[in-house]
Amino acid sequence: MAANIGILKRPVSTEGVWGWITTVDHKRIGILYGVSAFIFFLIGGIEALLMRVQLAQPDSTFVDAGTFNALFTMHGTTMVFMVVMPAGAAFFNFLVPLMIGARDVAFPRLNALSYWLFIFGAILMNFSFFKAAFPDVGWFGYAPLTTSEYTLSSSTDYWVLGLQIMGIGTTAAGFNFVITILNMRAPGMTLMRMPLFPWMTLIVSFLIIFAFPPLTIALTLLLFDRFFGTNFFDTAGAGADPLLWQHLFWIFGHPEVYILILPAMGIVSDVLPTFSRKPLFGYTTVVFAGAVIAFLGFGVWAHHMFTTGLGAWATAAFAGATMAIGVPTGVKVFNWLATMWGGSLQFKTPMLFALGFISMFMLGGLSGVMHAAVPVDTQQQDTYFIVAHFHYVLFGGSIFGLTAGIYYWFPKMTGRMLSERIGKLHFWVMFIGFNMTFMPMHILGVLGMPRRVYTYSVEQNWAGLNLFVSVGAFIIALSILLLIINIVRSARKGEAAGMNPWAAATLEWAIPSPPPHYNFAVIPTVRSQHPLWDEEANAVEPPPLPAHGEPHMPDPSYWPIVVAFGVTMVAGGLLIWQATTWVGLFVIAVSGFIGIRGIYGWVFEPVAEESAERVHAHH
Amino acid sequence: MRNNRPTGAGNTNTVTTPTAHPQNLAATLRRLLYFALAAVALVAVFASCDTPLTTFEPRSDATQRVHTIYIFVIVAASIVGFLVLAAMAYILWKYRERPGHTAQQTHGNTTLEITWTVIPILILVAIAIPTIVWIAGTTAEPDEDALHIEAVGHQWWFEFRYSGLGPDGEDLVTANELRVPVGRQVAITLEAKDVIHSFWVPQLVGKTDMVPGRTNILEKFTPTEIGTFYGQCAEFCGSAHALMRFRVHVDSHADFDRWVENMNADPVPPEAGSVEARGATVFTNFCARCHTIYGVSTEEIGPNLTLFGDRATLGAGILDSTDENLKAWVSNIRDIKPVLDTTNAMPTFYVGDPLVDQLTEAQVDQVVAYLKSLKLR
Amino acid sequence: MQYLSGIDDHRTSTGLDNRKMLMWAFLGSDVMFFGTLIGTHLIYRNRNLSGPQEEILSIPITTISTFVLLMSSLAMVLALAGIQRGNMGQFRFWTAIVCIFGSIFIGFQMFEFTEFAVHYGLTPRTNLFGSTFLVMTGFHGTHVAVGILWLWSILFASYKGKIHQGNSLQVEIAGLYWHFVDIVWIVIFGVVYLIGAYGAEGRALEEVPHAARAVGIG
Repeated sequence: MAANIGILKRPVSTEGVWGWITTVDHKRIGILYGVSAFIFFLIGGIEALLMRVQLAQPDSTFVDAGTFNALFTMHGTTMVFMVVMPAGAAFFNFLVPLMIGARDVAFPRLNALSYWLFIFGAILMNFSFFKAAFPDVGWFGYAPLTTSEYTLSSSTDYWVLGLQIMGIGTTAAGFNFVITILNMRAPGMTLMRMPLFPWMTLIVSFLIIFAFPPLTIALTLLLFDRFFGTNFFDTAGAGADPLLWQHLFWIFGHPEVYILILPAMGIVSDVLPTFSRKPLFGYTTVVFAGAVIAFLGFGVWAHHMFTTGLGAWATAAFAGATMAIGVPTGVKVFNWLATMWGGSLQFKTPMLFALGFISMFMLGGLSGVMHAAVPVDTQQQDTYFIVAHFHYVLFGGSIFGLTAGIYYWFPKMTGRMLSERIGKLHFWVMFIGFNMTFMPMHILGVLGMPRRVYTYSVEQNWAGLNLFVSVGAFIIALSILLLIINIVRSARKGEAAGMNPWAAATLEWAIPSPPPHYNFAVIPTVRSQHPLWDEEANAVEPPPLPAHGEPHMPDPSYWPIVVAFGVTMVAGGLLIWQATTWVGLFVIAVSGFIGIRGIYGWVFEPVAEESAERVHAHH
Repeated sequence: MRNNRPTGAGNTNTVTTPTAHPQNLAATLRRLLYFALAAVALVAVFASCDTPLTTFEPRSDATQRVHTIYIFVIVAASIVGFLVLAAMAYILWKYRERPGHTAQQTHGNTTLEITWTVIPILILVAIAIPTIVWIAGTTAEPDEDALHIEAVGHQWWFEFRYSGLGPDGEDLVTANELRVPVGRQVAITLEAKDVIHSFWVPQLVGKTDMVPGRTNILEKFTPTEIGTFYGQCAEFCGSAHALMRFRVHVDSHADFDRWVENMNADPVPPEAGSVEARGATVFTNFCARCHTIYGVSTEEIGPNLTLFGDRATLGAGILDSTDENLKAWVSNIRDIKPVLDTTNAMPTFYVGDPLVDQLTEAQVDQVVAYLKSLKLR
Repeated sequence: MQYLSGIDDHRTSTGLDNRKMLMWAFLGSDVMFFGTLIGTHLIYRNRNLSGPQEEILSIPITTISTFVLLMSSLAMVLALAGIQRGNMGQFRFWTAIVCIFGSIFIGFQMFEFTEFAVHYGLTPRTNLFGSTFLVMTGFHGTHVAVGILWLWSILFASYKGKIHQGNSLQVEIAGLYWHFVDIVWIVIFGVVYLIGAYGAEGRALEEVPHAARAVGIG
């Protein structure tokens, strides 16, 4: 059967490099996402440190204006699209099927495609570094600065195409997780029995599938402007309105903020009960608060545009909506505190990071409410106060939450514990470094320092605080080094984790660490929100494999990486087309063919012959 | 491993790592407190510095109104933040794991949850009311005697056009240093020539973007104090965004009127044969291709340089207007700031290489002398 | 907690097939996709500095192509009914009709684009109308073309025995997509063609750009 499909037989082996390239196992894809995100985290972090060196003193000439602009553009783009989102995806992938009692996601090959599109898009964008220069238009790329009239360099083309490809991959992942969570739950795992992390994943996935199309369109329109001479953002020549870009971008961009923070909220909502030794307080409220945040998140985009001259009515409406979104957020914080109230709190490393999340995220939320007050925003917009605000939300929030997740689930993922000593040191160094870096930025903002300036003069008197901030940034870097040391140490001599090292309540802790590739030898039936706490009568020891052997899992496949390669090289062809038309067209044609051929190969891909035999033997 | 029901500390024996000691926690909290105190002290030190772009020293009615709301939200947010952090610290201390203490298995409490939904709503309504009132206030028509100005953003400098104050009732144009009289309302409309910029003078008026293809209305403001205030472009607009600054001089009525009169009067030609006169020739032959000086030239590609000798700064507010700075600027602008890749960019005039120099060093000195001589009479 | 004895349980939590749910999720996302394109077109209405705009839209010709596309949806319903009853002849006939009608629609669109380019000089580079209208309808045309390719593939596969009554879900999912693409066209025909053609004569719906301006766009 495989023969008439063509060149590639369906792979069987899960060993070695090819095993990883062709894998469709959600756990392996999760690890791929996680490792990639961590590498980009280091890259984005180095970009941040270079900026901090430049800003440590006035009139510095460490880097020039163009380099600095590229640094903050790539720092923002990297941290949002190549770090926090894929880090979230790493947890979605590894954990959601385990937590809802599934063998895999709904569409394993689509899952692999999502990853390959993400990594190829990220590589393509960073490739601009070798070809031209890093993109330097800011991470939200306001038109008309991004049109070819004002940005001659092809770096913006790399930015647009890289983002577009990553966006397609993310949207595909969004579909996958919506369906996985709605459709693949174990018997008895009703929606209202799901742990908070899969709940937030479901909400984030809905946000992704509805928020990414406006970005896709915005990027497409910009792409057409830059490549084919359309007029969508041509203000001078065609009378276009530059605010169109801002509206499209922020209709995507604000839900994106919740795409970045809700996974961390889910992690914290699962970590807190474990280390408080009691259930989450007001489970239903926390779930619905998440849903309300997501829903309102589509109606507040213009608060990024209060100073653009929207008109009084629109401004007032968006200010009101923005304040409204503070309510469910506040409710979540109170519920987390109430979860700890009356508990027996164990200050393990994941708990410390979760506490760091709650306190720092709350401060970020409060400064967020401050700029919902429009008059205040006219003074704060585009200053370091905003930079401080969103770092409190995205670093103090997302990164602290995700790090809590790393320390919490690392034993499950690898079967080994991380060191508590180094972990606690990591927390304190990061917590102090974080506050040293970002707390003074509030003051810099109040003192009028605009964001995205590559230099400032002595007379502006921002030098002392900036030096302090830069020192803080290096302390954060030190804390990341501690994390790396901890992981390396654990790989060499970490103690075995066992199934449930934290005595936690949810399903993923009912199977060995690391989990076997089929997850559950036998699919569990769930009867409560805390299956490992509530059901004393049932041992949680996983039953042995049934006599007829391992469950049949989807076979590995070449097609996801082939399709992703085809799509990426079409974008590559477009870039070549800019320079040499015919070569570009040739590359586009060939890679377009590879992509379409990949889709057909995918659709008609049989199960591998070896496993087909195995299946038949069972029937 | 068997049942993990978390009914007490005894059941967590399966956990292999040591638990935190209360002493550690107390020490930790103390360390945090010291850290917070140090941070506050630091803030006090830096806030007392003279920072010209500070948003906390309002010098107009508009920024004063904003400042009042600003203080209100800062205080409200700080109180909320402090209370929540204090509650959190209390909970962490009170319910730390210790022998003989077991977790209470509560699941929720509707009354409590309704309470902490309603409280944020009340606080937010309290913030929303002044916000809405302020927004409604911005729609008011300008005063009858308001000074009407059109500000235009360019990559990377500001152009200011005073409606009807120029020669023959035309606009009176100046650049990078705005002059307004104290106590009179200023009504500014904002436009942009190329990309989006943002007009911001923290002590006089909050920012509003300058968007190409649109005419935005800046909040009306009445300066309350004579002095010089710093402005800065606040929307990323390309390589030299950081260097796109400007000044606002709030003058007495008499000084402002004298300045307008002088702007409109034809300049007195420099004494024949003087350095300034030779500089004027250089200006006419080179600079006049792009720059206007009323009564001398008319091109508006670059900033208007009438009465340049009275400006405190050059290069969009980035350098003091000294002879050396001006000389360096005229010689090779590229040493000082990034410039556009277009033909509209200011050329490099002198680098000491006869093959590329358009001017000699002497000519640069002459034109500097000429520009510095353009002063108020 | 208890463990089921079976290994591979193919029941889904909602009872809906995963693939069908995927198509619904995709269509939900596609609503945002076309919503953004149509929104962009409406925001840029009557902002053209020069060149032809809505007055060149031909309502009579587009009415015919719209009718053809609508009929293809009917054919799609009949094709699906055929395969669900196991009547492969009916399925193949009507699937072919869907593809042919879809191709006729594409033909109309190519004629329209050519007409605009040749007679009115309208290309995506001409003005805002050219950019928004051609990109929006172009993306819709691409959706139709993908649908045609998909249905041809299904038809072809049915001759190889890979599509049969047992997996008529494949046809049902393609049908969902096809109906959605039709519905999008109805919206475009209504909002862009009918209102546009009236709006060009200043007769109706001044409110759209007006409302857009009220929220600060357009």
